[in-house]
Amino acid sequence: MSHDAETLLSVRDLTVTPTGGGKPIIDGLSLQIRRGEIVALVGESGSGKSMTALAITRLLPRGLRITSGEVVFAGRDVTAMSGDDLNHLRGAGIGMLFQQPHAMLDPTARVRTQVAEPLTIGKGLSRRAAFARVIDLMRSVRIPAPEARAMAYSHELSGGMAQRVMMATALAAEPDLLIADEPTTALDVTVQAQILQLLKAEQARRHFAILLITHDLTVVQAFADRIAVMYAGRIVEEGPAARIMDAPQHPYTRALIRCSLLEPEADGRLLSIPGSGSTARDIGCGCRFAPRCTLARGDSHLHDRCHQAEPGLAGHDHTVRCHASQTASAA
Amino acid sequence: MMKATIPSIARRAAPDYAETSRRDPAFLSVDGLCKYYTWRSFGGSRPIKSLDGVTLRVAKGEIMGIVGESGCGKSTLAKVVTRLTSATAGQITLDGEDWLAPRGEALRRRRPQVQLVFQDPHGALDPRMTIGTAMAAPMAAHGIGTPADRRDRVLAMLAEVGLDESFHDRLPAQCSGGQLQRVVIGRALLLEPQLLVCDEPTSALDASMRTQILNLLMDLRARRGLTMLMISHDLRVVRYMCDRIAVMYAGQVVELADRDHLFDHPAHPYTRALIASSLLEPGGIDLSRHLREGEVPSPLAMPEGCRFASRCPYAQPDCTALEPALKQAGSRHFVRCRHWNTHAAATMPPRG
Repeated sequence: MSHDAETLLSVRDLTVTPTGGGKPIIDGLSLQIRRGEIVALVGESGSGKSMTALAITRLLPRGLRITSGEVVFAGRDVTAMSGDDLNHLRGAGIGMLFQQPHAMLDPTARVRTQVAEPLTIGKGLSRRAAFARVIDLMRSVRIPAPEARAMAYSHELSGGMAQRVMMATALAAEPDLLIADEPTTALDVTVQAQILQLLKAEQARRHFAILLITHDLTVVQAFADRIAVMYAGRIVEEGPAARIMDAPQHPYTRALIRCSLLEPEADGRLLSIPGSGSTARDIGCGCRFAPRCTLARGDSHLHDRCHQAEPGLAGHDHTVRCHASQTASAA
Repeated sequence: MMKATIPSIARRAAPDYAETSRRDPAFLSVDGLCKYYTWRSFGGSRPIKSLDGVTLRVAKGEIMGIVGESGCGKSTLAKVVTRLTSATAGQITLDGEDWLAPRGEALRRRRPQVQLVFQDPHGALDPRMTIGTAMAAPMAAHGIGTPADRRDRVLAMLAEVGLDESFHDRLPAQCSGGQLQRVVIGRALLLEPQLLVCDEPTSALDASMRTQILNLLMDLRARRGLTMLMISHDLRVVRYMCDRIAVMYAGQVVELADRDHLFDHPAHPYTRALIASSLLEPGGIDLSRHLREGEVPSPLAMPEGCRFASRCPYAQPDCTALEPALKQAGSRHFVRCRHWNTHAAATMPPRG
């Protein structure tokens, strides 16, 4: 894939492996994000989606390292960066939102000090100028009575308010990409919807790109431009959000959508995916989803193929890693 | 309390829930249940009204859903119903007997009747105890069977919840979250409870595990005729599981109806906001029609009037003055809102 001017982030063949050896937790992952685009990276726990976000920002925990592949952000190779370049990348280049806003806020500092940090440290504004800007930012993320809330400490904020403060902090640095790792999972449903609406409105106004990491496919359908589905360290399907939701090609994506909607099948039961994905990385050859896949089980010809050779990601614009769907589309 | 206002308007006003429901005998009756915790600070204390006058009737074999957001009191309700904490006021009747009366040894003997399935199965099991020992422990505590007996029952229960015999000697760390939740459900059922209280049984699980557990609970219900209280913040879960649903807000039930009726004709503005935000529609929704920007009232300082008024787009001046009661809005439909009739029809798009 070419690095055209539109491409903001290009991840190519990224592999992350435990330093002590062992199976890669992210295995040959490629992902492109264009300027102003919203991409959702969807997967269940242990699929490697959060580690992908940490690898992109070079924040991988001790014990994990990038063993191959490249991460190019705005034309610069992130894997080769160090020191000041990384500091500039985090914040000014890539902002982050996490699942637990309270855990991300300093309990001993007032809200305004934290929101102002990217302005005073990153942009070199005076404290006074920064504080004035903080009120504007807080107003833009619809925090009621921003002047009063600016003087509050994080424990005085509800979960929804704390996430708005985190959003104001991330936006203060005017990043080109915002990585939001389960930003609403810890919040109540009504607050969750409000935060997502707000995030989308700010994105439309400021034209930054978003990488939304989530386990909940129903959240992303109204939100993302593109969806990438991860399973056991690999992307198994990637494409435009509407196409993925309306006509998913990979059996895992299909099952995951049905499971997320909790709508009963014809027999009144809920569809479930048998087995668990926790040992899928140990599969030496063949498709990692094959042991749980109804297609691979149903057809003896497919069964052999699925268990012997791992399918590649095939397709244009909408890519799928599945023998069955590739056979179907070739026919 | 309500009686005082009855003489003049009684003929026109809809009856409230506590009165109409008193006529039907129910398996589980919760009446005016209150749980106040005490908040102490320098030189003073104030009540935290976690549950404030909850009334519910659950029929034998029925699954009653309790939905609401954090702080609405749904988990406190689970704790009081399972007698893990005391009630401040109100009554609970289980199968015709006063369920809040037994204490000490009498309570201990009756505890098997009501069992709880917790949200986090990892937290509900001792990491150093094998699955078999953990499942047999409640039976041992209640003196049920001999050790050999209990082992047989545990093995049979493992099969019933869809796990093979090898799990008997495993440790929790050797199982997935979904498998552990099966263990927790099986452990609760070994005491043959009459009422199973499930507090967010699938919130800690991935989507593919969640459907397995929900299917299992439905199978067990069909097989054993279990009566269940299903507590969840997820409307999709209660829509699939429950016969009737109670929506809670700030310590009170604000709407109560049969499942389909609730989703097709939600009457309380909060229920509509909840439906609109949890069943996210493609193309997005405009939540501002259903919800004003605002916060849930603090349980330390509940407002005089309607507790939802601060976030309600339809709030009228009288809403903040007087607290509404849970009134009849249909034959089996109750709503705690003075103006549901005027705004209900206009706002909710029909859903297929």
